[in-house]
Amino acid sequence: MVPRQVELAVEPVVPAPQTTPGQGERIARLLLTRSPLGSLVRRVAGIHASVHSKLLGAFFLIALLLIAMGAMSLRTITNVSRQSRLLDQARDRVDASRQIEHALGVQMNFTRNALILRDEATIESILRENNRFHDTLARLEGAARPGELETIQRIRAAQDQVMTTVAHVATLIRDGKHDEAMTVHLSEGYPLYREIATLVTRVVRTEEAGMGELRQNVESANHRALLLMGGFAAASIFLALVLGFVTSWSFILPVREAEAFLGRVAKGDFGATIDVPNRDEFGVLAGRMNEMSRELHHLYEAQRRLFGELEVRNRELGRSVEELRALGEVGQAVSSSLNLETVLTTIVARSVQLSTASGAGVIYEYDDVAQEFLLRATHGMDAALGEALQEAPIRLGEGALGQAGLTRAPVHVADILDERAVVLARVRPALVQSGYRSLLAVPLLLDQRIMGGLAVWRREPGPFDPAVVNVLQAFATQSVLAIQNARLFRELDAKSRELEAASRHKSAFLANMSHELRTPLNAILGFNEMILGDIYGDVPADLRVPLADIQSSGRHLLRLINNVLDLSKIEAGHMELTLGDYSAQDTVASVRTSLRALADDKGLEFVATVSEDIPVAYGDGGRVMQCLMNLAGNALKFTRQGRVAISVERHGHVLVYRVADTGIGMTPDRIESVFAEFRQGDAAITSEFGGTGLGLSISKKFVEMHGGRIWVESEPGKGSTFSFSIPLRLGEGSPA
Amino acid sequence: MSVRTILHVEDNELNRKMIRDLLRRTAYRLIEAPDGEAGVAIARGERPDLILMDVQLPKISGIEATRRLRAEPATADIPIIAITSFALGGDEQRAKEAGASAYLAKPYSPFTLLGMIRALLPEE
Repeated sequence: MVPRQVELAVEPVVPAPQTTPGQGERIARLLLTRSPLGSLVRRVAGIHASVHSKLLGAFFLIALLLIAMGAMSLRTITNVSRQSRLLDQARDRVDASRQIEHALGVQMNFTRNALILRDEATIESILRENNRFHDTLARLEGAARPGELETIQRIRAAQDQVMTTVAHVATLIRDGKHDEAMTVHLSEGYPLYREIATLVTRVVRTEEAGMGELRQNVESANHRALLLMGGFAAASIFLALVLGFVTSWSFILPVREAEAFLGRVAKGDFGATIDVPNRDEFGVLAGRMNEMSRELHHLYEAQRRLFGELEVRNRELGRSVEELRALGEVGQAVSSSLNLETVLTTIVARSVQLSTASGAGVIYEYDDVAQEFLLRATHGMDAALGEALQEAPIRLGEGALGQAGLTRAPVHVADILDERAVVLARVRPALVQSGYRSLLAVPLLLDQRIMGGLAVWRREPGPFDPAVVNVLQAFATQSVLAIQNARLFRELDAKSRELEAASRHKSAFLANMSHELRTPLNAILGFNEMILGDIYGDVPADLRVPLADIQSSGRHLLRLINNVLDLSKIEAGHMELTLGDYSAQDTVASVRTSLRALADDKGLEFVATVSEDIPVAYGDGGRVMQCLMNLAGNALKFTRQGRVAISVERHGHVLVYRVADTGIGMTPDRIESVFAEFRQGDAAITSEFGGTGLGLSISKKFVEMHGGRIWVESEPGKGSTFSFSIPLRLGEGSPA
Repeated sequence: MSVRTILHVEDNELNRKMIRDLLRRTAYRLIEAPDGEAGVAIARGERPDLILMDVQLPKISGIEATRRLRAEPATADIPIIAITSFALGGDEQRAKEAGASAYLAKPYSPFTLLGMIRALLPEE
């Protein structure tokens, strides 16, 4: 048998969906391997903090960046608004200067008007205008920058002079000194106006120049703010991206590692380890996975070890089964075949098969007298080797087999080529030529007595497996049994032939003796009957009784002879039923007629009841009558008073004959042996009632030959009822 | 009517004498033969009216003798009473098959035999 292959079942692994890396993925990989980001990711992963904290940290950083960006923009806005304010102030100052210029013009105009019109109202207008001018100048002075103050003070001084001049002019006009007033105005007032105008124009110019500068400042401030904000935004985006990248990859990488690891485990790579730099939950997870993997690896190793052991056991078991099967086969051959050659051929064939793939084997039977091993069966033998072995028997102690016989133990020859090996010299060349290298010889022993030997040759050198030696020894035992069986069978066969011959002689003797006994008995009874029948003249009265006794004794002797003969024939198997139709009624009538005289002599009531519905029966009517005669005769013999009743009933296909008496009866232990040969109640009974004790056993045999049954119900002192059942028609219907 | 002749084929002298004694006072004429061959030869020559044929006989058996007599037209119709010592079962059957008219087992009652003879062959 081929040892069954046991495979460790591994669940089929569903391959993880292979995603082809997209553009983003490729970039990410490039970044991870070629840029410092890779080490950053590992460093982040290595931070001893939970995933939650890391995410929180990343978001916090981004929030900080946003706050900083807000602060920066706030500062920029403040700066810009300050510049604007300065611009506004400058514009206000320009406006004031322009108003001063205007007021100066109006003042001069009014002064000219007063010179022409010479009325009071106009003069007052000049003074009012002069006051307003004064106010405006004060406003300008308040908003003026430090560098302008000198110019403004000069304007004020000129204005003061203008006021004095105007007041003088006004007084002159009121006084009607118009020409003088004109002269004053032209000589004093006008130049003052010109001076003021020049000063104001200077202020305006200065302010305008300042405004241009301010405008430039605002513009550059705006530009700077734009740059700063852009930079901040870019930096924020960059930082957010980097943080996102680093954080997410510090999580993605361990997940990917875990996925790959689980994939390996699923494919059966137990004991694989996962290595992640993470010191967060992923790190813990990886640690657990490694533990699991180690555990799996241990389990797997244990399982594999078990599997290996199982396989070894399985192979051993297969071999044992094979051996058992071979033993069984051999055992069956031994028990089922009486042909020694068949059995030994089976044994040697199985021996060779169990020991080697391509070998040969022989079985020898030992001749005790000649002290030689004789070849009995071979297997796988080639012609040359066969001839070498047939050449001569192996003597005890000669070669491996002879040695095995001598030592009563198996003999190994690990290498036939070895000159020192115990190998029969005349066989060695043939063995070597046939390619055999090693041999095993096992003696066949029966209680340390040599019965033969079993030898197996192999083409491979080396010692034999102890298991094979054991099996071959078992085979040797079987071979011994087979040889023993065959010898016993030979003896038995001879004995049975003798017995058969003896039986034939016995039958012939019995037939002969029967004839030889009957012939004189015929003469004795015949002459006696003729004497009693007065053939030889009248017989004296006192001779009649002894003559009748001769007749009775002669009949008894005849019955004895008949019974012995019947029994012998039955035992030799020569008794055959003479089958034919017969009538149960006639049978009973004949028996009654034959025995009526005896019943009458003993004063017994002798009745017979036969069911009227019994049809013609089929069987050996003579033997049935003989049985009934025996039973009825016995009943009359053993009954001193009362009655003997014969009855026949039909139960379907069966007839039941009964003989009931009121005789001495039997105890239960006598009932048991009543149908055995040569048995009667006891010696006393024999002496009182006579008889051979064969009648019942012969009757039993005849009934059984009909397929029937005979039995008795009895009680000591009350009587016995003997019954037998036989088929109404032998060979038809159900058995009795 | 002529005297009826009975042939008794039997090897035992005492048994032959017994039949001689039995038939002495009858009208039958008795002739005897000690074995089967003689029985057949005498039956051919004498043409008896009845034959008492013992089955166990020297030379050839009573069964064989009966068969031979039945095979010859001259003797085919002679009634034959086969007498056997009942040694083996089936004697009666074989005797009847060979052609015997009646069958009697030893030991027989001489008077029963006489009855059978008279039934088959009236004295006169």
